[in-house]
Amino acid sequence: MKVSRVVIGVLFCAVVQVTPAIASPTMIRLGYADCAACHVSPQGGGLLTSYGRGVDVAQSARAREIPPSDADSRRYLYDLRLVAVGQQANAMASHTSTTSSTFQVQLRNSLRLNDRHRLTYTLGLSGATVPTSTTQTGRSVEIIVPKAIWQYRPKHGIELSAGREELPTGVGLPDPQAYMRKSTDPGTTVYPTQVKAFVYTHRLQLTPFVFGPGGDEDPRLQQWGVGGLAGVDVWKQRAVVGVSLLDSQSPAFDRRSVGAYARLGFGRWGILAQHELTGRSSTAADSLTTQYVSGHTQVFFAAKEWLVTSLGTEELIVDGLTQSRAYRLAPGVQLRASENLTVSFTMRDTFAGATNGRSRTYSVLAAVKTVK
Amino acid sequence: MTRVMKNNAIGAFAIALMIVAAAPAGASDAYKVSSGEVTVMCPLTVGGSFEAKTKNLSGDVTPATGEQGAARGALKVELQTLETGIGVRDRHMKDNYLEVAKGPEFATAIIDDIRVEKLEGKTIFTGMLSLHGQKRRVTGAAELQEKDGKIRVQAQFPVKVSEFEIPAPTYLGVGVRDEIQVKVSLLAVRAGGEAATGTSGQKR
Repeated sequence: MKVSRVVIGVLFCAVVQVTPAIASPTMIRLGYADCAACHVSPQGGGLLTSYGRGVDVAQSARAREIPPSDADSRRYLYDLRLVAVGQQANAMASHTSTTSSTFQVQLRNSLRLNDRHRLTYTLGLSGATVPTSTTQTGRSVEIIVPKAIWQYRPKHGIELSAGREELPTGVGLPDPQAYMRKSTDPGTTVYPTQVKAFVYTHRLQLTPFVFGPGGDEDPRLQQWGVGGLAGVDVWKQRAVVGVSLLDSQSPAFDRRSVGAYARLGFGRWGILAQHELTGRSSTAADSLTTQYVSGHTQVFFAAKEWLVTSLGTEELIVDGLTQSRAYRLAPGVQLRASENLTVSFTMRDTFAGATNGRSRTYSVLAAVKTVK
Repeated sequence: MTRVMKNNAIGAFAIALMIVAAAPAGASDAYKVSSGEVTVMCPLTVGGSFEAKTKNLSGDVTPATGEQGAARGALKVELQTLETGIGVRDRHMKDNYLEVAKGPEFATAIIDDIRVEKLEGKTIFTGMLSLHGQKRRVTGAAELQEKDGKIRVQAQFPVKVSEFEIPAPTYLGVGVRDEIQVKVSLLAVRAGGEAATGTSGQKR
């Protein structure tokens, strides 16, 4: 019983922190090789440009033409977004299950200071709405600041930003990235402070960055580091392949990571893949190095413009003091009912070896946002 | 995203034409397009691009006698069938820019007066493209392969939207660059040859 509780606890932690964001790297299927055309931030996610809103509406079940707005010239952009996630995790061996639901309310803002400078920030509340799990003890609502950055765009194709947000990744899918981060870099902040540059041309996408602590992590896990992404379009704005590098130090460990990613789109379908090899060495006298191989591969298919199905796989191989392997298989479907409402359903089967057994998680995510 | 796209299915035709013109020297019969696809690649002003595609490519071409590399006939594309993957964009492209409802010369893109330098392998071609009520000569690259009485053509040529008096496609601040690329892939068979020889495989 104790083992099953531990397994359930791990499962719960893994699912309850599903990143409540919906990214659209799948738009590469239509030739959108980067995020800059549709998002205020070239890293993607968050507020949309005027054109991005047009695409957002056109890709929903209520597709229609929208009149031109003054969004690109308006000084202050904002929206309010509510993301609710309900999940049920089942440990197949012990036939036990746990349910949970979480929410985030986000006020997303962007203030244009002048033609080249912009302040973009998100304030939010995050918490559990139905703490039914036995392992979910007293989790309260907390204030979060997922993004607070200053953006400087000296010319088209170049942007510098400084502040606090998630580190850029090759594929940009929040949930797989959260899984990889928690598995290979536990305890660290989700939103490190960083300075980075985006350089994107017709063929190249470069994102070098330096980063420091986010302030919400254990002081011994506070990392300082440098990293970068380098991607190249190899086929008609529909195939971007690249590499990622990261090197960081903290009082407790040093971490190095090298990876590769690909975003491929072929009209109605495509492939997203991101895989990393990470080494994490303890700074203690008896230095111990743990190596991780982690990654995500997803095949997606847009049955309709507003209905995207996907089949994702994730792997995690740990080689250190202990050795383990875990694999996840995750079919899912995302439905854009309108520019205001997106719903996604995901099932995750996790195979964690004979000891930990197999688990299955069902999750439903509803994201509602205002559109001004 | 809509208006952005419209452009040029036109070029594709030209390609098809060239193909036909590439019929083996001395062939006197017409070649008919049995299958094909036209892809119009439209780069966006903010980076990225989209494609408008159609398989509605038809026509026939007859090598002109006594005129090396020239062909009579025409290839045409029904612009109403172009699709970009986003319905709203399709409507903008056809209604606001290609203006297909204005009449036959707007609804169809035609390429004729095709001339190729070589009838086999990689070559340069020219053709007269009729689009949006305008006629302009286009030039591009093509590759022709003949096998079993069929000619497979891959061709690509640039088209300047402004030269055809198409309004600059823009939508919500994002536009399509003036020069777009038209890519044509088609298979042409000798007209009447299939039934006679039974070798074409396309209509068995």
